[in-house]
Amino acid sequence: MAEFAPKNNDRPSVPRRSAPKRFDGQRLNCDTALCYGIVTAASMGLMTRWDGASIICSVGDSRQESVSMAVVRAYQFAPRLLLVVICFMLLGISSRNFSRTRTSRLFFVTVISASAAFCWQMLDSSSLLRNLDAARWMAADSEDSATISRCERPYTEILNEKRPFVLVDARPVPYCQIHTLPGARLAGIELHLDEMRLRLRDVGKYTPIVVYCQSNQCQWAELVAKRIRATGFQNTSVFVPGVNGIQEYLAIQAARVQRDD
Amino acid sequence: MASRSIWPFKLQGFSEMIEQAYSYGFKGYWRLVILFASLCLVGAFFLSAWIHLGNQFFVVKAITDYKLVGTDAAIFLAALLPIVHLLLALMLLNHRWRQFGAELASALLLCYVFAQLSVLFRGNQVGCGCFGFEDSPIGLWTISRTSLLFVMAGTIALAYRKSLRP
Repeated sequence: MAEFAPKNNDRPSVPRRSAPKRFDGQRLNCDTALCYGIVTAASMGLMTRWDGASIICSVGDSRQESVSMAVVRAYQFAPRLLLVVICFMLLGISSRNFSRTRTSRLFFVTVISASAAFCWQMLDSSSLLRNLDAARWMAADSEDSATISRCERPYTEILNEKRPFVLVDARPVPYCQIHTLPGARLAGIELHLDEMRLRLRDVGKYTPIVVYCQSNQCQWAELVAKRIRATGFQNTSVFVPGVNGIQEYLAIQAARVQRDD
Repeated sequence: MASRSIWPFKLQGFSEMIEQAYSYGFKGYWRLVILFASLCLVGAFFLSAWIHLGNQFFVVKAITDYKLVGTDAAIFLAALLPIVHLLLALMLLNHRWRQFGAELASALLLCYVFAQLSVLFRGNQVGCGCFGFEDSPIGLWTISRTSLLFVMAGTIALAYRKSLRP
């Protein structure tokens, strides 16, 4: 039997499948790529004026508030960051196993993007799919050419008029939980229309409603004011300086009280 | 043997890339151009995805303002496009997916250029919405910016074709 056993030299040579040519032969280095991703995200975050930037620049109590806001945002974005990492790992795994042709890659990208989008919508309580009513209203709002009156006077002048008005906070709930003005009603854009009507059920149709957001850079207030007007409240306006303007007033008041004491 | 990779293995490998650029001549500088274009695209897509994922309702409004699709289609696109941007950024980071990601990115950016041109020709004054609600209104600047990103993505896709490999 041994004489029939093929020798190593007589083993027929099987042509090896040539490795696909690549532009570079480097293997995926997860550490490097993740490092790039983190550096990119961090730099983009600072560039978009996140609370990270305000933490660096703020002092005293405002820094404490900035830290709270940053914690809220981190809590909000943690599941999203996890989704990013999972997508990245799935891409890394798929590149080795079942993405050889363009068609298969396109199919895989379509599936993963649809799944990731669906998971994202389910994870976020203020997402589009979970607030379809508000999303449809937002889409229809672009055809509404009527504008909301904008109030840019200082908060002290509004208070000095001594007319009753209703304050509405247009920011999302996590921001209102850090601090909100006394007496303000929470009616963010993610709120269902019925819920919003319930929160304003004791307000008269012609009672002045003043909607505010964080600052004059925020567009939520105008959109929430349009939404409130769409439900029947005729006297709605936007306080443009927002919380920052009101805090300035409160700081002035506190300084006056301290000086009087 | 000098490494043929244009993607630095470590962050401090950038100096090695510059040395390779000197040793490879034109082909070496070409690699730097491709790397720079990749990083620009990654940054742009990451920034866009991050901002849009934080303000999905504004994305709906921005898409509807273009007046190219209906309400439900705008909501669907607003939910999907930021994730697509994120995936494109991740693909451009991964050297195995870079060519395919660049091809997809160039197709998507070409669609954006045509959408902005259509808005411009119709004379509508709407914001671009590319990087948030505070972005510039659609005009020469936004179209140039999107076209530049399209050229970058197309350059990366072409650079990975066999005939153009250094």
